[in-house]
Amino acid sequence: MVQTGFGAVREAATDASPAALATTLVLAVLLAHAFLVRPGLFVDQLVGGLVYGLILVLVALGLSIILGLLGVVNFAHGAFVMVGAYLTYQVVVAWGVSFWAALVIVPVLVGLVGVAIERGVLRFVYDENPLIGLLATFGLALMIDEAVRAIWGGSPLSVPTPAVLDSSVNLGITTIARMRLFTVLVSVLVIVAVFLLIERTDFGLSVRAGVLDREMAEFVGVNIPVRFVVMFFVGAAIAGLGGVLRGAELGMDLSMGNQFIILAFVVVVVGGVGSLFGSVVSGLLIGEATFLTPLVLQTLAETTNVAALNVSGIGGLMPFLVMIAVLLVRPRGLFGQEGFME
Amino acid sequence: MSRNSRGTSVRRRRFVKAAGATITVGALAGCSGDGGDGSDGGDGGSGGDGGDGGSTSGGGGPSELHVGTFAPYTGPFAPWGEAHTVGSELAKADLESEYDVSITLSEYDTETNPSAAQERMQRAVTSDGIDLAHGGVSSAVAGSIGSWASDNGVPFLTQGASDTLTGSNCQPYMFRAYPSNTMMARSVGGPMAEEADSWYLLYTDYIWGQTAQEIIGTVLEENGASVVGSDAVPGPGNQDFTQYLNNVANSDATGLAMIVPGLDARAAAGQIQNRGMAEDLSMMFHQFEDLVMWGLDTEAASMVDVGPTGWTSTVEGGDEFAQRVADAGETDPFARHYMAYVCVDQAVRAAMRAGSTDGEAIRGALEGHEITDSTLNDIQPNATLRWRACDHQLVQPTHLVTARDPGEMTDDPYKQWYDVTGSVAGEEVIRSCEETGCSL
Repeated sequence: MVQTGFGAVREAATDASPAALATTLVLAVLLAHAFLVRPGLFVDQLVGGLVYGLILVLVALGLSIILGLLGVVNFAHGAFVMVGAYLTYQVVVAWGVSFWAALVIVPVLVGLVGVAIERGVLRFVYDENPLIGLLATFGLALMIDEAVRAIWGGSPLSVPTPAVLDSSVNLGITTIARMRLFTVLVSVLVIVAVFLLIERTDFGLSVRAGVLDREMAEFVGVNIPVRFVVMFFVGAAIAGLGGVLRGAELGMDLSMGNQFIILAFVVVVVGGVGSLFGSVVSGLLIGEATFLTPLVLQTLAETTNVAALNVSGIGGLMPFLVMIAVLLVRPRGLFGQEGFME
Repeated sequence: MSRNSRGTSVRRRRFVKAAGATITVGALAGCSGDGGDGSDGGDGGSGGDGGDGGSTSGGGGPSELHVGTFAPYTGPFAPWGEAHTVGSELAKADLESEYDVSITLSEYDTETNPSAAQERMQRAVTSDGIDLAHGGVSSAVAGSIGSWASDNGVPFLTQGASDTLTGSNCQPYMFRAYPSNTMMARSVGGPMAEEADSWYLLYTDYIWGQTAQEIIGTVLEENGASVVGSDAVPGPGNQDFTQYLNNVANSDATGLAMIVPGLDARAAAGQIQNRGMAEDLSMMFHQFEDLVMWGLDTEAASMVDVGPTGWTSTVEGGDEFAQRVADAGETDPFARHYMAYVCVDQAVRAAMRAGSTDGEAIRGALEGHEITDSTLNDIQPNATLRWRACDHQLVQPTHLVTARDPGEMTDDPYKQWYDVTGSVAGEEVIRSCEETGCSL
């Protein structure tokens, strides 16, 4: 089920072993050392990691919702991101609509694609072995890839962004591209909105009830299928929104779906399947690890004069190293449901 | 493969063709009926000729040739594929008007996937019966298909840039028309040192990037400049350079060398522009190709202070060729159009000289050959062009470009955004035969 509470944080802190505390202490010392040696760069990378982490959260959030609520390992989620990016091209370049309008239109369109897939395919596999759903969505991802290729061609495309998002802004401690800052703001808004939807509305309450005990919820009159369709729409629309923002910043090509699906799964698995809060924490953790680990090793190499410590390309490996470390210690992920994957 | 194994190679090619034909017939008889490859838009060819390649006319040279173009027609490098096609078609038109030969061109999509590319090379040879092959933007792809082609006696002229293609992975029937990574790196090191005293190097973390950053670093220091930092960047395919640009911004560098390929370079340039870093740094883009920057606005595209390239439309003498490219295709002329032209031109001329398309015959016709009788001499009138025998590298000039001011960049009749500031003769920067590690 989807967990959004903070109780898991207290539980994790209480359960911390001496080894975990020692590890935390070592990490703190290493980070402090990096800060003391290269304070300006440390702040730049800290902010950069935060931004990158929030982008990862935005991409992974829809996957987390669909996996946590519906139990479907949606391998087509990356394809939703890609469709969002290409639809942005369609709306902005081909139809001449403004980028701001595309921010609304495209997520709705991708959400509708998600609903069509949910109604046309996935609802038939809810009660089946999860492997069936995974294979079905994998097949859908391939079909979406080819459909995008057929419609928009194989060449990379890009869209013009509003002038207000083209330059950078000086935050005092660092400089950041406006497009990235805008993405962060949108990510935070989406995270808060999803939290409120699930935790603070009757709709969210009924969805959670359906996940806990579908039969009982339907017995008391809750239309579970409609709620699941709505949540699938929300998950796909968030992926589409991610596609709009990534497409606007970096352009779009046929590989972007595959790029994101791997990282999105890493974020969800590290955070704990079914935990939206876990996905947020995981995304930020992976973002910071990706940006700060090279700096920590670089400063350590400078201080100790051991050049081998400055491992080339370590940043790109960090999402996977973090996943390995977390799963070794806590197979259910940071905030995952107890017993799941254990 | 050593010279005394020539016969084996030829027999193997014949065997592979025959086996391919048998399999094809068997598949048809078995009503497999898939009818196509779904991949490349090529014409599928008409089957092998059953001999040493090409149909021979009474005049000595083949009267019919089937040339396979292997390029990425889908995926992030798709625009490079279109350039291959246009360059090939222009060469075909020129050759057919010069010789009594009919040339069939077939396209094969390599994506950026070495195994998929090799599968298509196998089909092109065994089923479609191509006589000659060229292409391969990615060095990994070029190495994969070049190795298979050579093992089966098929001449292959490539555009991959990695040193290994004419080094440790050189092949008896593979030839490289593109300047090697080393040639580019050695050419640009000196001008970089004139641009700035301290450089930061960002390089894609694979053999091409590693090699270039080592050479450029050495040449910079030989010329009195210094390298104040370098980072290995993931890729190809990396789109986010934030953390590496943070490192650059926090260094003492006055110059930034981007040793990253294709669209990664474009993404990086956009981010450099958005952060306003280009105003404070001298910028070098390694193995520069105009197309990479055309996706950016002219302000961002003007950040290039220096970059080495194999050809650009502003190279002296290239006007007519560039205009023909602009008339023939959707993509404005850039290096890959010219290189595709070189490959087809040289493969076909070699076949005409040798009177055969057999790998060994083409090898004999190209090794040590100085190009003096080709339209290439009109496109680059001041260039000395020679196929080196020891590693099959085309010795040719490397050109150094710099961006025009945004107001001086022109799009009509085709994009001309970069000017050539100098050229370095191939002989000055090419590795010695001993350095290559190639033992042909």
